[in-house]
Amino acid sequence: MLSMMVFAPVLGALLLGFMGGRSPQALRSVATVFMALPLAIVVLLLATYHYGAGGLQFVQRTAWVPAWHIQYFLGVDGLSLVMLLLTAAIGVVATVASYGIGDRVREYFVWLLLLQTGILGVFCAQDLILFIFFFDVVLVPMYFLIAIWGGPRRQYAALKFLIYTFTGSVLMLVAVLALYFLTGRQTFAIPALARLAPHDLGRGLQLLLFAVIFIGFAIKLPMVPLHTWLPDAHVEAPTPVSVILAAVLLKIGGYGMLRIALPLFPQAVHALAWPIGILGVVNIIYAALAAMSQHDFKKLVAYSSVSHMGFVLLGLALATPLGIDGAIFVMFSHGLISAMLFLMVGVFYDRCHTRELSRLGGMYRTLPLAGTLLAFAALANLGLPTLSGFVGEFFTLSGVFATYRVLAFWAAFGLILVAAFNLILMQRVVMGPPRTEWESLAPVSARELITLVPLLGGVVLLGIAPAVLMNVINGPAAAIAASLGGR
Amino acid sequence: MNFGAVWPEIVVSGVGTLLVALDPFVSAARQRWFGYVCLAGLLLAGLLTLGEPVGGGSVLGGMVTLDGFSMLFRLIFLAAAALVVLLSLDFILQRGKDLGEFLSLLCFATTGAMVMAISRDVVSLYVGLELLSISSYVLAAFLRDESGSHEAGLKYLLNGALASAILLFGLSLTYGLTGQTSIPALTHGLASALHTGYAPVVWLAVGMVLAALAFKIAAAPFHLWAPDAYEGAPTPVTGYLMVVAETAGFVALLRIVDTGMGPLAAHWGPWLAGLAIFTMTVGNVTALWQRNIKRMLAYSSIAQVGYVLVGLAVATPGGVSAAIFYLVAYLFTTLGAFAVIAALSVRDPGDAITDYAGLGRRSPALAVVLTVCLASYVGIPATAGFMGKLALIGAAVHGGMAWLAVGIAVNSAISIGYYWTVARTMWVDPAPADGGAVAVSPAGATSVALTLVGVVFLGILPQAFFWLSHWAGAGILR
Repeated sequence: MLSMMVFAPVLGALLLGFMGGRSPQALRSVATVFMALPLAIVVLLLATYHYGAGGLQFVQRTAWVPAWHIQYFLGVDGLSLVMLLLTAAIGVVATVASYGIGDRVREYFVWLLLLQTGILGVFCAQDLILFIFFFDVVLVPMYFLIAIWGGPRRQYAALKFLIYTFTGSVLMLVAVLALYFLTGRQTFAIPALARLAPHDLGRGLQLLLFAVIFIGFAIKLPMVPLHTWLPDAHVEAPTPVSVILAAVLLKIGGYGMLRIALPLFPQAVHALAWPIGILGVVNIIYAALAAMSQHDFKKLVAYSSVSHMGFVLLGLALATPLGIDGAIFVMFSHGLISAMLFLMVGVFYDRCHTRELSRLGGMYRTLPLAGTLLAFAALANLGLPTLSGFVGEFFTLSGVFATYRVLAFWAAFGLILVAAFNLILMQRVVMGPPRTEWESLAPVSARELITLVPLLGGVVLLGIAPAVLMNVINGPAAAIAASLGGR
Repeated sequence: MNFGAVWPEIVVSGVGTLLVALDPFVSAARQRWFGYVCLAGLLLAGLLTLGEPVGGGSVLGGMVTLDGFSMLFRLIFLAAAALVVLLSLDFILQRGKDLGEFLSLLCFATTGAMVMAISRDVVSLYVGLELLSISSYVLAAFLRDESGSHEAGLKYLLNGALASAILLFGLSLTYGLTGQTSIPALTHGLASALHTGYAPVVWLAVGMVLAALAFKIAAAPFHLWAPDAYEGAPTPVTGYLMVVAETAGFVALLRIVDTGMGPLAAHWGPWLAGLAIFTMTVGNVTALWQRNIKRMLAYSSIAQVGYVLVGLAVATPGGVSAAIFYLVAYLFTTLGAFAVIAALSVRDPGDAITDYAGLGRRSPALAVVLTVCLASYVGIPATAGFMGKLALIGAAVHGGMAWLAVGIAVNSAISIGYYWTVARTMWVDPAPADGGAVAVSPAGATSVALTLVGVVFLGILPQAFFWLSHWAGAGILR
């Protein structure tokens, strides 16, 4: 079942590669079908997962490279499931949003489908080498998606993305192999290592290996000061790819920390809780300030992502069920909101061909529907109660307040800045007098609405009834916290 | 004397002789048949190799040993030679050159490499090396009327001859010290000579052998001849030299350094580690500035040599088998890249990286294969290179040389810079106006397909080859 889900997009890519010179229409339909397939399977998994039992389910496990005790080991728990749901759903949204791509359609969808397989694989892999395998598989399609279909500085941005992430992953490989030999347990299986590694390694080694693996994921998350690839990559990527980058790819960083870095090195997490928390707060504040000073619509949204990932770091540093719940919730909710925001950037860019905030304005009047949707996304992004952005941040902050008052204060201060840049965004784009140059813009199309409305629905649903998501993630969050000795 | 053990070598050199003998009598139009005869001979030699008993015993007066190591490397050389034959047929014929002569040289060179693989004695090892080297000098200069090829041959000859002389000098010193030419006896003799008054001579001898073999595998700082020779040599020959000549150099190094886990291994280790890290860094950093694809791959091969040296430096069974695995991965990756380059340069001699602009649209299949090979060089998963680096990094960490593992990691990240320039050129840059689709002959297509299968198979299901390289490594460690 899991293999089917992970490799369905590859089948789609092969089919696209070998089917004859069909119309773009046919290519798009094939891509959509093979993107929708994983979504259907994830929904089925969510419905049949045994929540009472918890833990890894739907496990597939066979020896892959016996010489190195590498296993082909797939399995999902609640954490994996919500990430898979996000990935599969955003995959469909991005595919539909890609219907506007007119250049080299076949190649585009081949890369998009391969990318999807990589991401789905990352969220299912329960063997460290298999995890790195999928983690790296993601890089190549993403490189080409940015480098071929991106904006003017796409080459630079794509290469920077590739080098940053690959450096992190190959250093992670060194750490993982060191872990393998130091524990001497002859396994790369994450559950087994989470049980055994903490006892096998001394404190110093834990700190060292944790630091390397943490940095690998921190590049992906991204964490200030390792974030500089992100504004470039997000700005240059075509809209659907920006959506995947922000909504899903960044989550690999947070997911990796939760799945690997925390459970395997509990002592290191405890020792480094303060620094990680401080880095989280720095992330929130620095990126919010950076976002405030942007003149480019897309760059502002990109920095907003960096800022929100600060809350994930903060939640992790807490190492309590509440904090980890909050971190996962922020990740999921940010996936929906950032996808909306990037889609809105696309909506305006396709019409105005500029992302200069100073040239936009008055969109409430000229494009009422688009203006409203953007205002909705920005408000969700700033953490308005009853929308999903609020819930995760609230959980994280209330957890932080109990343990680290100083950090809670500064994180709350960061939230003010987050609110400020979102309001600036709204003010620049949707408020003000309508501009004459934008008078005759086409209204939001049905296709654009199809991509935006489900996201909007998700944001509202999670804002009103967070329990829907909480019920799924409480179990794994408690398990991770328990592995850290938190209560 | 029992010559049964060396039938594969006899067959390959016999085919070489046959081709030279027939060459004057076969018209240019029919020379393509030489290719098929040569392939048949290589296949036969491969089957004979597989049919031989692997006992680890020594035959022919101890000159030759039939262990897993010699078995595997004979097959590696035969496979590499067969792939080079496939990818060179059209290249040579299209330039109106004498295919019979070319293939016979290839057979003799391969025989030399195979002799090195089975040698357990420095004398036969040296003879094999010379047979390989002398044939290679001529091969490098095979396009006599092109100045680049001319220069390549001469440079390769002068530097190679110097290295051979140094090797011979070093070996004669070891003979003087120990009175032995058999490799296991010789390493033990050297180890005990270390504790006598002759220690400086031992170091001199060891240093000379090491430096000479570093020349042969083009490890920095002994690599300066390689970029010129590799750039100027005919494209299929460049692939052959990078794979067979360098792997043969490693065969000699592995035999000498690691036989019986050489009592000297602890002494070689730090030197090899320094050589490894220096070589990979010099290769990768210099490759960043290259504009010609063959020259870039020349520096890339230097970098790859640095990675393999890590396996030797750690001097553990894991290190040896990782090095052997990586050599196999390197074979498929390099020959895959050269199969594409040779297929492209059958008609179009342009070797500048900019000549690859838009290849993704002109010839998607070739571009896909070259991209997979580049990914394998970088070490991206689902390719042979990833599994190879996994093994090498693992060996380095396990062998207590974690800093070498970090060196591999950092260097892999640097190498993206140049490998990916080529991928970008192929897929992103627009095709030139006059660039049409590239016609590929059946032989060329076969070589491309086989190497692609090799790279992907090793990347996804490496178990069999991990087992083989472990088994082969065990052969020399005994």
